[in-house]
Amino acid sequence: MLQLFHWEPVGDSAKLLIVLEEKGIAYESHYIDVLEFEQYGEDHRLRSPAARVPVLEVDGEYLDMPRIALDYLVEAHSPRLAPSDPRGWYEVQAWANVLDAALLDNVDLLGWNTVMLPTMDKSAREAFNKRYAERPQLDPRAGWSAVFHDAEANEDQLENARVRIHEAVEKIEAALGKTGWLVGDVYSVADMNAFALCHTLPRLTPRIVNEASTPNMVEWLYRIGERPAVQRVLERRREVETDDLYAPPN
Amino acid sequence: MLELYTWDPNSNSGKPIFTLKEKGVAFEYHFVDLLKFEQHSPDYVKINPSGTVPTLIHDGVVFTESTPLCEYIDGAFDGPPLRPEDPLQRYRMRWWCWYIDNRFAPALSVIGWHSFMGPMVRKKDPAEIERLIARIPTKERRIAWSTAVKSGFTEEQLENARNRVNDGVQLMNSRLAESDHLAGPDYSLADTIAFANAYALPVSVPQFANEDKAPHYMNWLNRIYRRPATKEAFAMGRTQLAERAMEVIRKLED
Repeated sequence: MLQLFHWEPVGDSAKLLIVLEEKGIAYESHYIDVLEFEQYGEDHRLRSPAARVPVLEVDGEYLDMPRIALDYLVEAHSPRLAPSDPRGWYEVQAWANVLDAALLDNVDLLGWNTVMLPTMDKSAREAFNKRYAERPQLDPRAGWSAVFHDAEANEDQLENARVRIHEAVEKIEAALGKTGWLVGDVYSVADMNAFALCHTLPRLTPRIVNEASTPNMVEWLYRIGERPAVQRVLERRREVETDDLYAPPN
Repeated sequence: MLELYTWDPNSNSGKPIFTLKEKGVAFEYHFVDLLKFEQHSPDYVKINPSGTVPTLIHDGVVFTESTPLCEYIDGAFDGPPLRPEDPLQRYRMRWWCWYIDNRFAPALSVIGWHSFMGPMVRKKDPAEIERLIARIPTKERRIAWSTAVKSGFTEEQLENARNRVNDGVQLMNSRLAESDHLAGPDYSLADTIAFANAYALPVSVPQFANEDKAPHYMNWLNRIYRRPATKEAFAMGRTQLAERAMEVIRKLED
C-alpha cells in the first residue's frame, strides 16, 4: 500500500492528499510535525535527504518532490482525473508549475508572519527562531528563487509575497470565467492542485480573495471544498485556535 | 504550422530547440534577442503576456512553460520517444527536470547575471534602463530586475550560487557513474533539459566542471555534444555561446 508522510492539509501536503482521496487510492497516512522540526529527524531524512514534506512511498521508493509525485499519481492510477491528450496534459502541468512558483513559498511566508507569529509570545518566538536558525540547510537554493531565510520577514518581503499571490489569483479568476474549471470543462487534477495551494487565501488575504473582486474563485473554492473527498482531507486539520496552520518558509 | 519564438539554444530557450531536433520535427524559428530585451517588447508580449521565452505556437495554440512544453512536443509528434513509458521511471526522469529547473538553473542564472547581463545592462544610460524595466509585464519581474540592476549580487550570494552549481555537477556526476543517461540507460528529456543548462560549464566554471572532479559528467557532455540533433540545434544559434559550442563539436569530430 502507498504510504504518505505529510503535514497539515495545506500546500504540498494537501495536493497529494486530495488527489489520493479523489482517485480512491488506498494509502496509509503518517503525520510529520513540521513545527516540531520532525522532517529533520533521522527517520524522515532516510525518506528525503533534503527533508521535504510530503513524501510518497511507492514500493519502497520515496518520492519527495510533490509537484511531480502528482504527475506520478495521475499516470500510475486510474481514473486519471486529468486530460490524456498532449495539449490538455500540458495545461495541467503548466498550471501546476506556475502556481507552485507563485504560491508555495509566498503563502507560507505570509501565513507564517501574519497568522502564526502573532499567536506566539516573545519567548516562544525567540525559542522558535533559534531552532529555525540552527536547522540543517539540506535543500539550499540560490538566486531569484532563494527565499529569505529570516523566520521573521520585513514589510518589503511581505509586500512582494502579496504581489506574487495577487498575480496568481488574477490568473485563476480569469481562467475560471470560461468553464468554471481550470482545464477543459471538468474538475481535474489541475483544480485539485490549485485548490490545495489556494483554499486558505480567503482567510489569509481577504483583500485579494473575496466575493466582490474574485467571485469565480470564491465560488470555485466553495464547490471543491464541499466535495466528500476534499472534506475528508480538510478534516485532517489539527484542532487549533487559528483556522489554518502555516510552516515557516524553507 | 509550428512556430518557435525563442533565443539561442541555451537554458530555457534551448529546451524546445533541442527537443524538436531530437524528434526530427521541422519548425519556424523566430529569434527573440534577449540581449536587446525583445522578450519585453510590445509585439512579443502580445504573443506571450508574461514576456518570457520560449513560446511555441502549434496550430494556433500557445505554449509558454518550457519543461511541460517539451513533454507536449514529445507527446504530440512522431519520432523517437523522449520519456520512459513506466510511471515510476517517468518520475525519475522528471526528478532531474525539476531539480535542474528549480535548484540548478536559478543558481546558474546568478552567475550569468553577474558576469554577463549585469555589466552589459549597467553600461546603458540610466533612463534607458528605467524604460526597459518599466515595460517588463509582471510586477514581480520588475522588482527582481531592478534589484539585480541596482545592487547586483553580494559576494555571499555569488559564493552560494557557485556552491549550488558545484552541487549540481557533483549530483549529475554521481548519477552518471551508474548509468549512461540521467534517467537510466536511455536518452530522455532529463538529458535534454540538463544539457541545455549545463553544456557550457567547462568554460564558465572550469574549477568544478573538469575531467578530474567530474569525469562522468564530462563524458556525458561529450556524448550529448556528439548527437546529430545537438549539432543541428547549435547550428541555428546566433550568439557566441552557440559558436563556442560548435567549436567543441568540431574538436570532438576530429
